[in-house]
Amino acid sequence: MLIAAIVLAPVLAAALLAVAARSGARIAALVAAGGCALSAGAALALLPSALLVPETLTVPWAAPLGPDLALRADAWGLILASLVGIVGLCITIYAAGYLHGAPDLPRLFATLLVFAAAMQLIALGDDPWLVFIGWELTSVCSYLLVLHTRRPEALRAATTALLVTGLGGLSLLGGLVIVQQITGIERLSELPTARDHLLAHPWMPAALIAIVIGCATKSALFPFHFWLPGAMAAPTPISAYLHAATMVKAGIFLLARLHPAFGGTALWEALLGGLGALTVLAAARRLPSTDDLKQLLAWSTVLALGTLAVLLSLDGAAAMLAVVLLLLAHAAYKGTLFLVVGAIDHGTGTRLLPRLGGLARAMPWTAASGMLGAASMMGLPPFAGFVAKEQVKLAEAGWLASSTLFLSALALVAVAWWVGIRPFWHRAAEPPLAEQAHEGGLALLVPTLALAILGLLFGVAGAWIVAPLAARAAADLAGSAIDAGLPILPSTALQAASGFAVIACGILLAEQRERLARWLSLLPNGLSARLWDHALHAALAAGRAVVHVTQHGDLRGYLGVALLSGVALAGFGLADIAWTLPVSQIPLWMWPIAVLLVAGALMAAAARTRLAAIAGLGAVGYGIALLFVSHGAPDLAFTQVVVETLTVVLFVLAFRHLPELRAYALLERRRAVNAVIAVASGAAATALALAAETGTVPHLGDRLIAAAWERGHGANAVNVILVDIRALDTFGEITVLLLAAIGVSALVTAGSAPRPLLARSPILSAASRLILPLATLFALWLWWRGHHQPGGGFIAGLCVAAGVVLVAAARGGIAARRALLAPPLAIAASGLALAWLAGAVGLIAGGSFLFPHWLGPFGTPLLFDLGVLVLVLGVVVLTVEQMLIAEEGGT
Amino acid sequence: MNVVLALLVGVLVAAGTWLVLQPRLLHLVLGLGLLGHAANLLVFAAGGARPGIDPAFAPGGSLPAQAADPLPQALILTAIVIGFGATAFVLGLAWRAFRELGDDHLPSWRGSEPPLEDEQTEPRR
Amino acid sequence: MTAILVLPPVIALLALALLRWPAIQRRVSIGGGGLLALAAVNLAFGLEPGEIRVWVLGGWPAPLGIVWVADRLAAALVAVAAFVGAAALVAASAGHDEARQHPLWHPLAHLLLWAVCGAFLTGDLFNLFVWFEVMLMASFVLMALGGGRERLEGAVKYVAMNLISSVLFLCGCGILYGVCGTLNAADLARVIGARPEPAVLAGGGCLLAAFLLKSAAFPLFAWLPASYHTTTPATAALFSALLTKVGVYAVLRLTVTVMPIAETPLQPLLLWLSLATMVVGVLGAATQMELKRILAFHIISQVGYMLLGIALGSAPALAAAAFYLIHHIIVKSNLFLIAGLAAAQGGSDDVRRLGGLRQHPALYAGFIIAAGSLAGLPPLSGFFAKLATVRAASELAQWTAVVVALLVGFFTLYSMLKIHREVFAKDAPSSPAAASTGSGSALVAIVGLAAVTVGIGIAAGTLWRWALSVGAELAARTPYITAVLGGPR
Repeated sequence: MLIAAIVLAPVLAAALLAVAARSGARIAALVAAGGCALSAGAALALLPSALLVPETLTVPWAAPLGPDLALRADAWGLILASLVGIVGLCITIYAAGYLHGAPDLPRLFATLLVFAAAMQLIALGDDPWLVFIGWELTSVCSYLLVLHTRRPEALRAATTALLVTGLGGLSLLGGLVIVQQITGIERLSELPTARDHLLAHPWMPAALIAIVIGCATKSALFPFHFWLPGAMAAPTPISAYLHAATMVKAGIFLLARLHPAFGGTALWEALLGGLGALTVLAAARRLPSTDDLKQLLAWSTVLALGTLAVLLSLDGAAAMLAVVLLLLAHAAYKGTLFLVVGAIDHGTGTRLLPRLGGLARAMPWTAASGMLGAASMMGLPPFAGFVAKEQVKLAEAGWLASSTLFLSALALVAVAWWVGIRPFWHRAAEPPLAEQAHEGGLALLVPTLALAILGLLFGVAGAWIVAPLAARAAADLAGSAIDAGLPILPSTALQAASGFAVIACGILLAEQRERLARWLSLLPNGLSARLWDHALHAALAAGRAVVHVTQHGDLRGYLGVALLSGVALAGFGLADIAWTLPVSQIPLWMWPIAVLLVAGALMAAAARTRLAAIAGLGAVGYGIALLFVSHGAPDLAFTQVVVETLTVVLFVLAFRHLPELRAYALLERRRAVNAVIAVASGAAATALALAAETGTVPHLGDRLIAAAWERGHGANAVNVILVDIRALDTFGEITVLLLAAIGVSALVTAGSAPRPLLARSPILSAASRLILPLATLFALWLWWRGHHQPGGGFIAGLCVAAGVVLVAAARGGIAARRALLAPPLAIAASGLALAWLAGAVGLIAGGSFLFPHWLGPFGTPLLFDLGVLVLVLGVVVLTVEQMLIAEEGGT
Repeated sequence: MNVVLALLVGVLVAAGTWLVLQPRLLHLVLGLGLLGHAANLLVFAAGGARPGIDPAFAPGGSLPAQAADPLPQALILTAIVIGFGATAFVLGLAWRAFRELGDDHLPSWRGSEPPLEDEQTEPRR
Repeated sequence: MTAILVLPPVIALLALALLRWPAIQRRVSIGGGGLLALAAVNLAFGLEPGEIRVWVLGGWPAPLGIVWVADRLAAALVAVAAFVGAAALVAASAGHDEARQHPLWHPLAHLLLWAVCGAFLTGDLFNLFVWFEVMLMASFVLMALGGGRERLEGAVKYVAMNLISSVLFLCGCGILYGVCGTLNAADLARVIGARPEPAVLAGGGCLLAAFLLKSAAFPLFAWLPASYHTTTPATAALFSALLTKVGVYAVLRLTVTVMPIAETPLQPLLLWLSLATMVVGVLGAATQMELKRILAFHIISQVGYMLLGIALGSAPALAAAAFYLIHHIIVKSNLFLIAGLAAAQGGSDDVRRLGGLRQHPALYAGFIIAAGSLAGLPPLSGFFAKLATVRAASELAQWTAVVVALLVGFFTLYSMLKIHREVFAKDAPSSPAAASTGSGSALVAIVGLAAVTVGIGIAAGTLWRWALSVGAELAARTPYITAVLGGPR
């Protein structure tokens, strides 16, 4: 269970902080330190087992899609886990002192703890997706921590960092998906067994490249290294933890985990060796010209990461051991130096190298820590840096790797000199600054010194404690065993001499800082950052172009594309139809109807006045009604005539307030395009209508006439379908009507009740008194007979509505309202309620909604149809009334 | 094959398409109305409408020998009513939109569209 | 299922009757929404694995009459839709939401929800058309409520485009009936078989165009960025969660269940359209600076992911699409609610004019979860949805799709970072506007939806196993057909 504690301790601590969000900074720091300490303790306690059989834990979660909670504490994982815990402990204590008084500290510590837990997932996760989750979480936590100060440059840097690492994360995801696809493995520890299969697969290069890109973004390898110096906008302890000791190691860590599977292939060597060398060069280029100590450390971190990548590209256990040792040593000395720089910043208010000097007197403890850190970084015995450096020399490297490693060693010496030695011992450039400098208190000193001493201990105690573990990790990573003996002092005079020579050269170079900077300024600089910006800008420009083209705002264009898409999608089928056109005889009486329709359509399309256009539309509608009646559809014809009349009335009422169809000039090209779209749509529609008749399957409807009579108790099959067989369609349909009426009433701003439309004439007024009852009677008759003959609730409702409209026309809206007894919206709604009631009766009596239930000639379908009647009445009256109101208020 | 119906559908669709591609609000409303008619007629034709066929009645339970298919008719009836509702709403919307925008020239309506490049330099209120 | 059909119209009618008493109306409406959600969740969890429940309406067995079919995908979508609907109803009574001021909002919302549930559940092509129309008309009215220049202009475009879609839908219905002689989805599937004949393909093409327009797929999406951002927060939450997703669901049912497109030219076409949809949507979003516009463009891009799963067509790909649908409905509606509240707090919709909202813990937490999920950050629901899609594409060696899906994820992250940075992380550019009061109910909805997003992440394994069996069921087609035509159980 210790293995779970490594991950869970920080999570629980973070949860505690989240619950007690208002706790003070001191308590928050204590909780955070506790979480890290527990995590570190659990990791350290597991170390012995890692040498024998690694402890594992598996809790099922999201397999087979995503991760199971599978943890495995092998040597390599525990090394990182211990590092995360120990450095985390130092950092939280330091941060409590350094950030004293800063806002939102509990939130900062909580984020830090989540980060630590995510790192432990990367370290110990055995499920690739679980590692990926940790991976992405660390990126997000880094983002939140970097922008903590909320300064504009911090916001910018945090965003860039997350975008770069996020892109890499997606690349890694793609690579893992391919690897998983090829090998089918579900555990990282099984990967070496799949090596042969993997390497033989044609997709392997794609997978490897994708994974390396992912790791390169995280570990700030060329060409993605530019985000790391920017991330220095974070508070210094955060930088020390995330951007020196732990998070940036994740890429190297994961690559090392994959070494047994991919290591030794040409692509692996070329990618890592090449990227590593370029990273070292890019960092070395920037070092001498960087004045800010923190930036200097950031660039040196980039340099170290490049060095690690170069080492990873090599084969053999010696190189792997060098990776393990350098990673450990780097975490210790770089962490120390970051904290030292933080203390300098805290004590003097500046981090600029040219301004600093002579601080040893005012800040003796910091100076001591700096010296210890610098010694390790330079590779002086018996520090951890020395052990690592000696092992690096043992790695079997080619000339390119060797020269890169040499350059890196020189550069590290110089940086150590600049950061750890110069500010304290060099002549003070600004004496007042040196005199006013002060130590930052125990909270700053203790963690700094602890980390520095840790670097020393790694070296001195290395032979006994670190060595077996590192050797075990290296053996796992290399796939071959290695001798565990590590030197803590140079064994030969030659070795000692060469080591000291390198250090001396480095210091000499460091003293020529300005000159070096001048020479190096001839080399190109910041290319990849600019490339990144350009790429993002290009994407944004593409986005603007897309918006320009697709959202041009002209509705005609949208509609044209929609119609053409319909034509195109239907066209795939139409193109394949084997057309045989047995033309049936066309009766003579069809021709006048056809002429009426065509003339109406053309009239509507070419009209120059509103009335002509409406007349054309009406002609089409009535023509269609004639077609219906002549093709055996009297119900349709009836409805079509009534609806068309009503539509024309509404059109006339509404169009009076819209401007006349003024002459408009269309570009010739536009006209041509429109004509092409129109003809294409028309042709496709004709073809579709013909294609539909190629079917040979008997139609369902042919069985419905008999069914309607036998089960539906109605001779009018269409009506039975509407109120019984497909009553749900009708239910939806009348809901649409009700909604439309609500819409019209909401759109047309309510005013006073409409005045009489026609001049008051006593005859008309008297007639209207008679007409409404008559219309109602007629409607009831239509409704009743609708089940057997043409008629039905819809037409009946329109009849009553016509009567009401006539009343309104003759005697004004108030009289019409009075005649209706209720507001039209209420009538429409009660119509829906009636229809619902008919359905509910069916539900109670027949077990399903709208189940027809008959008592002699009375049945729920009739009640349903009555609901349709009432609803249509309400809707039509409401719509016409609103349009009349519109008339009064509209001009 | 009911070629006449199919051709009429084509003419209506072409006219409706031509209308919705015109620049005025009125054109749009008219065009949508025509396209609605055309769709109804297409369903009618596709459902196998024959000139002069008997309606789908079974007076007194005696089934006709050859009657029209009642199902497409029921669909079209539903579609006609829905189309009426849509037309009424569109008319109301057109009225209101013209009243508030004071303009019936559709191509110049781009107040609700995403701002273009040059409009992006300054924050909009 | 009965409650899902019967309840919403009653609630809508009650809400209409209570127009003059808004406080009571809100309570009744929220209560009704809660009942609907309960009924829907009950339906979804009541289905055994592999069970397809068929409900014959009015006692006319398939294919004569209309049936409703609840397979596990439909039931789950209804449950999620009803849940989101309830959340939107709650959020609509927040003080900053214009919806609160309009008494017609609640009845309309219930009718919209009803139609969405109907569209998910119906097993009949023309009945689907009717539900689409109810849904559309309700959305038309909801969109135009309140008026205003931008809103009306957007509404005209929205209405015109969607009416074209209706015309195409109706034509497709008629043609399929003409060729196949039936309207029942299962019966159509039986008649059409595994390889649709050309005339069927032509009719199906019409339907596909109609559904793609409703899903806001490339190149038919222009209506969405022109209109969605003009709506009130609660309305936008409803629309963004449900309308396009009903379109996607219809595409799925059409191209998988009714008319398999695997061996037709429509399959590669749909694949490329889905990729274009993803790219165009996400690039459009990257250029926007107003909250709701950014989110509106992201709907398009996310629809692309779902269409990709459908176009790939294998069982895991369909499972991915199902997973994505459920995840997306929750996350997207939540983001619109958050955007509405953020805009109300800061007094602007432009991210550059906002800031400092990290001081608003519940809103901030809700945003982190919803936006992180949308951007596909693990371990939130969006990560699993994206992973499932990418893995399904890689199984079929569709490398272009893999690369595009991953890159689109990058730009989604870009947009979400922009919102986070500008609205939450940076300090408010001016003195913060007086916090609007009475937004508590919106926060309740936001936190509730965020909790579900987290829950999906935690239960990802269970949900994925569910999705896999759903995908297998969809890909096999026969379970659906036999369940419907073999008579009700």
